[in-house]
Amino acid sequence: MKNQQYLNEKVQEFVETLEPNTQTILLKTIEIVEQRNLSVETLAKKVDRQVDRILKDSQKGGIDK
Amino acid sequence: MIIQSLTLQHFRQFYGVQKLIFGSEEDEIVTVILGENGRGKTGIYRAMIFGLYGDQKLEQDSSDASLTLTNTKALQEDFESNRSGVESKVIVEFLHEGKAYSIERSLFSIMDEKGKVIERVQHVILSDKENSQTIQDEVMVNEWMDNILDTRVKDYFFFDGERIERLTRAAVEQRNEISSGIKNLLKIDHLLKAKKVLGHLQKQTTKELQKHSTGDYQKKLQEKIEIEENVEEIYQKKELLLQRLSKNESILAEIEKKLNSYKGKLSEIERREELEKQLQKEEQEAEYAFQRLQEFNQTLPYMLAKNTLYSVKSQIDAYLGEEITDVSISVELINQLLEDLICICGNTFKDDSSEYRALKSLQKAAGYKLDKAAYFELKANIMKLIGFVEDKETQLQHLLEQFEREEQEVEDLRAQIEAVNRKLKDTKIEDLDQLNEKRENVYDERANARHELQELDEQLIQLNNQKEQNQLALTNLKVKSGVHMQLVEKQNELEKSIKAMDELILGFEADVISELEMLSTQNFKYLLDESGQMNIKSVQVEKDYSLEVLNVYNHPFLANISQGQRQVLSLSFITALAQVAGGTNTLEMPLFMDTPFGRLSGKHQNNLLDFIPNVCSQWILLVTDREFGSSEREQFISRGQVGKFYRLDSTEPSVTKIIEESLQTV
Repeated sequence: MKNQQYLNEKVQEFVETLEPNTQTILLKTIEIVEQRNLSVETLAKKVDRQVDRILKDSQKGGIDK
Repeated sequence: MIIQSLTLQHFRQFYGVQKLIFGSEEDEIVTVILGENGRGKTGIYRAMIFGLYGDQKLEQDSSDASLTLTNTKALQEDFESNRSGVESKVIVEFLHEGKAYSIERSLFSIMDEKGKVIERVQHVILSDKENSQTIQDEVMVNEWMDNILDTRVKDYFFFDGERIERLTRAAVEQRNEISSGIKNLLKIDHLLKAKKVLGHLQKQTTKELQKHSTGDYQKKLQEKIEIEENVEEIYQKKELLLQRLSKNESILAEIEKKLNSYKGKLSEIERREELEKQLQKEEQEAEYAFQRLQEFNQTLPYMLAKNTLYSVKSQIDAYLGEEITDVSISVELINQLLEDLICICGNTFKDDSSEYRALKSLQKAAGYKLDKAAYFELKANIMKLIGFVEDKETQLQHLLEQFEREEQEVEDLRAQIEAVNRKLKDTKIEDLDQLNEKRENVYDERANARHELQELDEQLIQLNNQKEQNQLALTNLKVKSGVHMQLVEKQNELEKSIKAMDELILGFEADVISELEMLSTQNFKYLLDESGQMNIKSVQVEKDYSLEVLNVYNHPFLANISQGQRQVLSLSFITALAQVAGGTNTLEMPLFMDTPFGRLSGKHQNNLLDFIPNVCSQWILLVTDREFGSSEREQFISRGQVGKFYRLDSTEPSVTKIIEESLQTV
C-alpha cells in the first residue's frame, strides 16, 4: 500500500530536522510499534530499553541507530 | 482485497447451494446483479457482510426486529421432516495481496411449533489456501479481517446506495468512530499508537524519578503525576460520553424509523422534520456568522483608537489653521513669474495689478504648504485610518445585525419545534405519544452529554496550562543526585520525543487531509452535472473527517445540496479515500453497492459509470430493473467492463435463483 511508503518517507524527512537522540528515539519507537498486536505496556517496555541504550551511547559519545 | 466468489447455502431467499463468481479481471472489473424489489439483492449484501465480518444485522435493521438469516423453505422442510435443524452457510473466496483466502461462516437454525426460529452461529473458518492453514477462533478471524479492512470503515466500501448520503451528515459521535477507522486506513493510527507508547513510558519515568527526588522537586513531580492522571481521566470520561452519544444516535434512528410509519397520518411529523432541517441549516448559518464576527477580532484594536485619531486630527487642523487652496504649481515657478512679471499664459502684468496680487497670495500658500508638508502628510494618513475604521464599523454593525437575525431565526425555529413536540406528545395515540416522549428524552440526554463534552474540553485546556506551568517550575529546580540527573535527562528526552511525535502526526495528517480535499473536489466536480459544477467550488474535509461543501463565495453550502448530490459527494469522498490509501496504485478493495442509482439524475449516473471503474479495483452493483434499463445496459456494453452479469429470479415464495446471463442477450 503506497500510503505506508508515503508515511515512511514523511517520517524520514521529518526526523532529519531533529536532534540526534530525539531522532533515534522516534525512529526506534515507530519501528517497535510496527509489531501491531502487542499492548501499549509491552511496547513501552521495549522502547524503554532502547531509550536507556540510546542515552548511554550518547554519553559515551557514539549513537547506535 | 478482491472478492472472487460468494457461495450461499440456505441463506435468506437462496435455497440450496448457489454461487456467484465476480468479475475481477483487469478490464472486466464490474459485476452487475439485477433483481426486482424483494428478490434478494439485500440478501446478497447481508451475505457478504455476514461472511466477511459476522454481522447478523445491517445498520438499517431495527434492533428489536427479529431477522432470520436461514431460508424459510429449508426451515419449513426440516420442521415437516426429522426436525434436526438446518445449517445455513456463506463462503467468501477472496484474494489479498496476491494470496488466496476463503472465509466460511455457518449458522444452525431450528423452527418450533409456533414458527419461532432459534438461530445461532455454528462455526467460522478462515483458510489461507496457499499455506493450507486455517483459523477457527472467531475473535482471531475477526481481528484478521479487521487488519484487511477496518470494520469501522467497511461502510465506505460495502454500502446501501440509498443510505450512503448519511456519511455526509453523521453526528459528532459517529464521526469519532468513522475518523478512527479512516486514520487506521491511512496509517495515521500507527503514529498515534507510537505516541501513546512514549506517553506511557514517560509516565513510568516520572514515577521512578519521584522516588529518587526530595523536597520541592518531589512535590512538583507529584503535581505533574496528578495533572497527567486528571488528563487521562478526562479522556476516559470523553470516551464514555461519546459511547453514550453513539447509543443515543442508534435509539434516535430507531424512533425515527417507527415515527415514519405515522407520516401521512399526522402532518406534524412531517412539519417537525421540515423545521428540524431548517433549524440545522440556520444553526450552521448562525455558526458561520459567529465565525465571521470572531475573525473581526483582529480589527477591534483599531476601533479603540478611533477617538484618539479624531482628537489628533482636530489638533493638526487647529495647528494648520484654516484650510488653504490646493496649490498644484511649484514655488520656483511662481517666483520666476513674479520676477519676470509674465503670466503663465504669456501676457505681461504690472506689480500693482490683480494678477500680481493673485500670484503673491499663491506664493504665500505654496510656501506655507512646503513648510508644513510633514503635518499635511500626517493628516492625510490619519484621514485614511479614520476612513478605514469607519468602514470597519459599518461592516461590524452589519455582521452583528446578521448574527442577531440568525440567532433570532434559530430561536423562532426552536420555539416552533417545541410547539409541534407538545402537540405530538398529546395525540391520544398511545404508541405515538410514548415514542415522542422517548424522542424528547433522548434529545435532552444528547444535549446534556454534548454540554458535558464541552465542559471536559474546557477542563482539558486548563489542565494543559497547569502542565506547562508545572514543567517550567521543574526546569527551574536544581537537580541533585547522579541517578536523579540521569532520570531527568531521560524525562527530558521523552518530553522532546513526544513533542516531535505530535508535530509529525499533525504534519502528516494535514498532508493527508489536503490530498483528500483535492481529490474529493476533483471527483465531485467530475461527477456533478453542469448546474452543480457552477454552484459548488470545493469539498472541505474537516479534522474529524466530516465533509463540508463550499459554494463559489467560499461559504458552507452542504445544507443546501440535494439528496442526490449528497450521495455523489459521499461517493467522491470514498473514491478519494481509496485513491489516497492506494496511492499511485488503485486500492485493492471492492466497491460493493446495493441500489446505487436510486437518487441520482441521469447525468450523475452517466458520470459515475465513466468514473468508478477507473478508481477502484472491483465494482459490484446490485441494481433494480428501474435503475438498470436499456440505456444503462448499452453503456456498460459499449464500455466492455462488465465481467459477470446475474439476474435474480423468484421461482416460488422464499426462493430466489441466481441466473448468470450474458449482458448482450438480456
